This record gives sequence, structure tokens and C-alpha cells, in this order.
Amino acid sequence: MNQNDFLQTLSNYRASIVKTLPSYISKQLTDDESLADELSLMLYSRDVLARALASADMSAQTHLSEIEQLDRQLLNLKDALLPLVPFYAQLRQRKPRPRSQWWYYLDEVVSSPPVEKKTSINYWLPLTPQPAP
Amino acid sequence: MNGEDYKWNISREWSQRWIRWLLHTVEDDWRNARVSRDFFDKMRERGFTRQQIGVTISSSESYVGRYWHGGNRVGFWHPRNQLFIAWKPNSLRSPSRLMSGFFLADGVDYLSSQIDFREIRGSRK
Repeated sequence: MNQNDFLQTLSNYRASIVKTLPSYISKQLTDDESLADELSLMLYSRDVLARALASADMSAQTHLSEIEQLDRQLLNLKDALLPLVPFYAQLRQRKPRPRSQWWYYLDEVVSSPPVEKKTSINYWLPLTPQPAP
Repeated sequence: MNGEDYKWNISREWSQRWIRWLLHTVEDDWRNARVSRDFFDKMRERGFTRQQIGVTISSSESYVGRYWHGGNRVGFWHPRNQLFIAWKPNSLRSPSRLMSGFFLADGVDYLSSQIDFREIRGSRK
């Protein structure tokens, strides 16, 4: 992946997390059907970033801390976002995804209990799928 | 399965006549500003133009495919301006319209990663 393509992808992921998805949550953007398209862009962008990170792409490594920061923001959005996308679990049912792609399992990520020493990421993903509610 | 769903059945053979009707319908939706409520906000924010949209949905250079993401979609990606346009067909819930637009480095990769993806028209460079 060349530098421009990487930066385009990172820009799309950043805009999704920082601006677009929060705008749907706060009702500034109101066409709930178009939220599906924005969710799709966010998920795809994260897929591409994961591929870049796995290939030891230098651009990706340079921006690793920003990607991790955006990931934490995504996890913080999940409780408000998931009720707006009732088809979310179908995405991995209709096209299976490895659990390493945790952004397809936001509904199974649970907040960890409070701990005395604050850790950098207070979430964990169970290794085995949770039963459907 | 209702009639609208049948049209989008992935196993259905799509005739050239049906594809021409589809492309004409998308252009007609755009000419008549049948877009999602947030479409023009995204257009301003992401910096794509009406001219780029017109090129992306009507040029034979654009790659066109159908997919599912919470609803049926047809996506258009132009390899030179790199603009991707998502369009939704008519359904029981809401009428057809252009849903979103964004720049993608590789729209073919985006489309082919989607659920129930099927190519409607390859890019004719």
C-alpha cells in the first residue's frame, strides 16, 4: 500500500470515529438507513489498516498510536452506536470474520470491571462467542 | 420474499436490459436530487462535487457492483477521481436514492469485501 492510499484510509477511519458516527448518535445526521453506509466505511477502513499493520507497513507503524487512540474512541461509542444498527451481528453471521477483527464483535466486547490501577484499554473480548440474547 | 427483494436476489441472472434500467434509474435519482437526508452534508464535508458524482454514476470507466450492508446497495467507483457512490434500490421501507459518497483508494477492493457482492459492470478503461 502506498503512502497516499494509507493516509486516505486513515483519514476515512478518523472521520468515521471522530465525526460521522458521533453525528448519528447525537442526531445531527438523521437518515438512519445511510448510517449503514457509514458503518461499512468504518469497518472496511479498519480492515485495511489492520492489513497495513500486519504487513509491517512503515506508514502504519508511524501512525500506530493514533490508530490505537481511535480504536479506544470506537469502543467508547459502542453502547450508543449498536442500538442504531440492529443488523450489526448479521455482518459476521453472513460473512464470518476472525475474532482478531474485534471491530466486527463490538456487541460482544464487555467493559472490564474497575481496577485500582488504570490500564490503557478497559475492554476485553471473550475468546468464545457469547450466546445470543 | 417480496417483488423488490426478488429483483436483488444474488442468484438471479441480470439481463443487459435490466442493467441499463438500473443505471438509468440511478442517474434519474441524482438528476431529481433523490438522495439521503445527509447526502449534501457529507458532500460538503468530504469535498466531492456534483460533477464528480455525475461522472462516477454515468461513466463507463466506473466499476459497478451490488452488495448488502444492512440493506441492498449498488456501489459505483471511478478509478480516476476515486469517488465511491452508494445507491439503494426501492424497497418497502423507503424509495430509491443516493445514500452516501466518499473517497476510496481502491473501490474494487471495498466492493469485493462486501456481503453478497456481485459485479454488475467492470470498469471499461
